[in-house]
Amino acid sequence: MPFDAQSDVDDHILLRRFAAGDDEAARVLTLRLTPRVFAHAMRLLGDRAEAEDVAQEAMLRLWRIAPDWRAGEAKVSTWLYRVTANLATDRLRKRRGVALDSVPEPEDGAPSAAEGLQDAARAAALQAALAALPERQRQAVVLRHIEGLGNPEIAGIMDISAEAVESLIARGKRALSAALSGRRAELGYHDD
Amino acid sequence: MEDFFGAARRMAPEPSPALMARVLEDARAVQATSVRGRVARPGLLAQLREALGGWPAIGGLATAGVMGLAIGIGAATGLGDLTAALLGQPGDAYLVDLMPELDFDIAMDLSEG
Repeated sequence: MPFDAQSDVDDHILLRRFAAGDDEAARVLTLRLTPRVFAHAMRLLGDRAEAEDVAQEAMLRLWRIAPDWRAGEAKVSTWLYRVTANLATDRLRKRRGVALDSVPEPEDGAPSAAEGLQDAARAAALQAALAALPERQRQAVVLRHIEGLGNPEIAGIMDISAEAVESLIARGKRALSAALSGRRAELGYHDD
Repeated sequence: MEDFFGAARRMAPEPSPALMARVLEDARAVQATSVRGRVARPGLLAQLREALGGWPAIGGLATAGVMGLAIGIGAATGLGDLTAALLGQPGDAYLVDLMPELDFDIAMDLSEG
């Protein structure tokens, strides 16, 4: 749904307009980026309240850096994923030792009730399995397989080589697969 | 695994309207602060005007400038007589060495390299 004339404009151009005082740019960037930042924080943290705090803080840092933003140096989304991950990591370190058992609530709006329930169950199971992964593996797997980023961009976000990204993802997926294999039947898979 | 990732993508957690409102509120607050900061800083001409003492001083300077121009144009011949009376006839030249002792210092510097 196109919400206005600026909906097709690049993030960094909107950010420049924002820095120049354009209120519409502020609105478009908020609508465009906050859901992605929040979803990423939610997947890394597994807790809605903490994910909202992290998302608000990450976006606040974006607003503050806007006047000094240098186009071409990094994509706005890449920068945001990095800041979000750093803020989430700080949170995880603070609460280390606390069980990570919270999972996202099932959301409305799925294609049908049955499919929606199954999707919700699988997404919840994946979230629980992700929470058990080491932080870096979780971040790499989420960025690659849920956010849909390429390895070079993930390498930029995580400040590691593309080979290291590949290795983290491979190990993360093996662990996820092992964790989820025991729950195949309850998640709608049948071995026949 | 792709089923799980696909489900996670379809079931993306969505931010609450309250979060969206807070983020937009932050954006406008930061924007207002930085735009106000830019407006508060005066431009180069404004800084120069203030350094000279504001508009009254600029007015005085302009008057003095106009008067100087008028004197320059209107009193050229009279000034020629005044210049001759004060400085002597054209052609008279005087060489005055105000600090003769400097010759010695410069010669010493040159000889020492």
